[in-house]
Amino acid sequence: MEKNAVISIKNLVKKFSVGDGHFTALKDINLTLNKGEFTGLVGPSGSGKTTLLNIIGGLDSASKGSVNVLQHSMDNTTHNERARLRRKYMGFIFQSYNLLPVYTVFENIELPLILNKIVHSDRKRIVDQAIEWVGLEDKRDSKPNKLSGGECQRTAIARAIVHQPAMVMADEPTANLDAENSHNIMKILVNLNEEIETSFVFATHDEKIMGYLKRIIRLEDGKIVKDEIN
Amino acid sequence: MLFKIAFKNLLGARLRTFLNIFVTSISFFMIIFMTGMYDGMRQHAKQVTIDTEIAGGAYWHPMYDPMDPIIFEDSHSILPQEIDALIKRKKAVPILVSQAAIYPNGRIMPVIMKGIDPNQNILNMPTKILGESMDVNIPVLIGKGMANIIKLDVGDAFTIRWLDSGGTYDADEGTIVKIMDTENFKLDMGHIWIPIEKAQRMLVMENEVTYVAYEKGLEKIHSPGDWIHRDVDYLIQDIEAAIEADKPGNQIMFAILLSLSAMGIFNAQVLSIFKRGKEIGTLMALGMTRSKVVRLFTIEGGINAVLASALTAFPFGIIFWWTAKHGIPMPMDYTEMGFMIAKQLIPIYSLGLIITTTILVFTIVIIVSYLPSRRIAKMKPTDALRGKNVA
Repeated sequence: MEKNAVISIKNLVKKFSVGDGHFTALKDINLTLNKGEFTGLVGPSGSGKTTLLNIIGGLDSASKGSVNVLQHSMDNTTHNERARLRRKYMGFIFQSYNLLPVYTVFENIELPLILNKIVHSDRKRIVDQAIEWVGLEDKRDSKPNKLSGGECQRTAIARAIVHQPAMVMADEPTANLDAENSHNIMKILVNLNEEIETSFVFATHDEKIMGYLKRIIRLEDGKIVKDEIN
Repeated sequence: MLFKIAFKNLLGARLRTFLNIFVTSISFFMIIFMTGMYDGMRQHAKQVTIDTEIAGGAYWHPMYDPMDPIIFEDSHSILPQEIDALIKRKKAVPILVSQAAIYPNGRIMPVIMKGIDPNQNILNMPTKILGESMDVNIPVLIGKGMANIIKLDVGDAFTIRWLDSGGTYDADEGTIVKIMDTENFKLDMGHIWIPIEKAQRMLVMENEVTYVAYEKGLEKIHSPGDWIHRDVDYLIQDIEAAIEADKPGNQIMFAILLSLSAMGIFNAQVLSIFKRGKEIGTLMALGMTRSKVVRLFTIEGGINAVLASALTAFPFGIIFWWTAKHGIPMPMDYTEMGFMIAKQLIPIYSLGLIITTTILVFTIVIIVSYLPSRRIAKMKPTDALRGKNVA
């Protein structure tokens, strides 16, 4: 694994059981992502981009091949070890935001800090800073049902980066947003990428955001068909 | 940390939390209320028996057996001196028991005729009226149930026939001077009560007595002669035996109530937890381990049970207090059916009942929180995130 690499994948295969047989979602994937990259896994629905993102994030495991994330081999790791990696070094942004509906914006953003056992006084300061990054100062006490789609996604972004993880996985972060909100979200993410040196990996097929990606990896039928610097 | 998150989750999910707590507290309430009613009923039966029939205990004629009326004609004698002294000191009441037959409205009915001192205040019976009715030949006190059966009212007269100690049948007219409203069917059904002096003259048993009931709290005398001392424990043993025989039924009722409550709580908890699959997936994605997810939901269940106890203690506690103080009116009189059930039933909510119920409900809530959350935590995070249904 290269010194600067945050993700190193070799000969990755992922199969899902379907009835009596199998469906191969990822076929012989080889990939290295370096620190601070702003990378998009791009492709049509069913091309395997979300599956690859989930395996990188330790939410799913490979059927074959090896996956190294942040110098940790994801092969044969326990659920608890993967949970610890996600808690400490990763952030997630989902298409449908996945905010906890009973928590306020502040509390949703605070959650990763609580899980990482950051003391209360520090938590307040750090969360306030994250809220400032995404421009939600006036919504800190609102619950998700009182927010627009763009505001929900900005909350989800703040939650993903509040503990300054080494990498953030974003699965179709703009799919539910209009063009203006999509651009706003991407601008925030680009700024964060530069400011806190977090690596970003996107799974997307949203053409509007392609211009923001620094590296585009195209997937088709579970294979990487193109890997280009934007 | 988990406690804090669990508490936050419960506070945040206002309506869902309230409904879960409400279901649990209703279960708490129902179990405690129903069992309290049942305990109150049994305690009442015991107390009524002591107040109206037993008092502090009794001295029986050596031949006396209340279950064998054939022996009544032999179970009477003059009292030993020390027992007689109790009566003179108004610390005991003498009762003379014999068989008789009455003829209300031309029908014949065998009864147990009991002579009692009208001026007694040891047993809770309205016997005073027997001493005040000098204008009738044989003043008779009967219970409400008996009055219903023989279809007679106060002032009505009927023939009484008895066998005296000389073996001669005699008869005379008795007049009902009072119909007592007693919950103890054993004083009522098949019984007529007359003044003891009258009974002694009728039966030719001057100064003779069958048994003596003495005041509550009185020490056992040293020389009761051949008369047999019967303490309260002995005299209530049939009630205790009935309660003991009823225990399995009571336990089954408790188990049914508990099962119904458990189903209610389980339903509420399972629905609540399975609806939160996506939330569980998000928590896993944020780095919460499976065991912590299970612990979180179990703690939520535990807090739920604590809050349910608080809810039971406050609004339902008022109902407990009110019913324990004022009682619950019963829709009908059960005396004729042979049940000693108060017309105003006072439930008894014992500390043991409350502690047992609390422990059981807590255990159920924690189990029904643990099981579904363990199941859902076993899902792959990707499936949980999609909100996929748990099989």
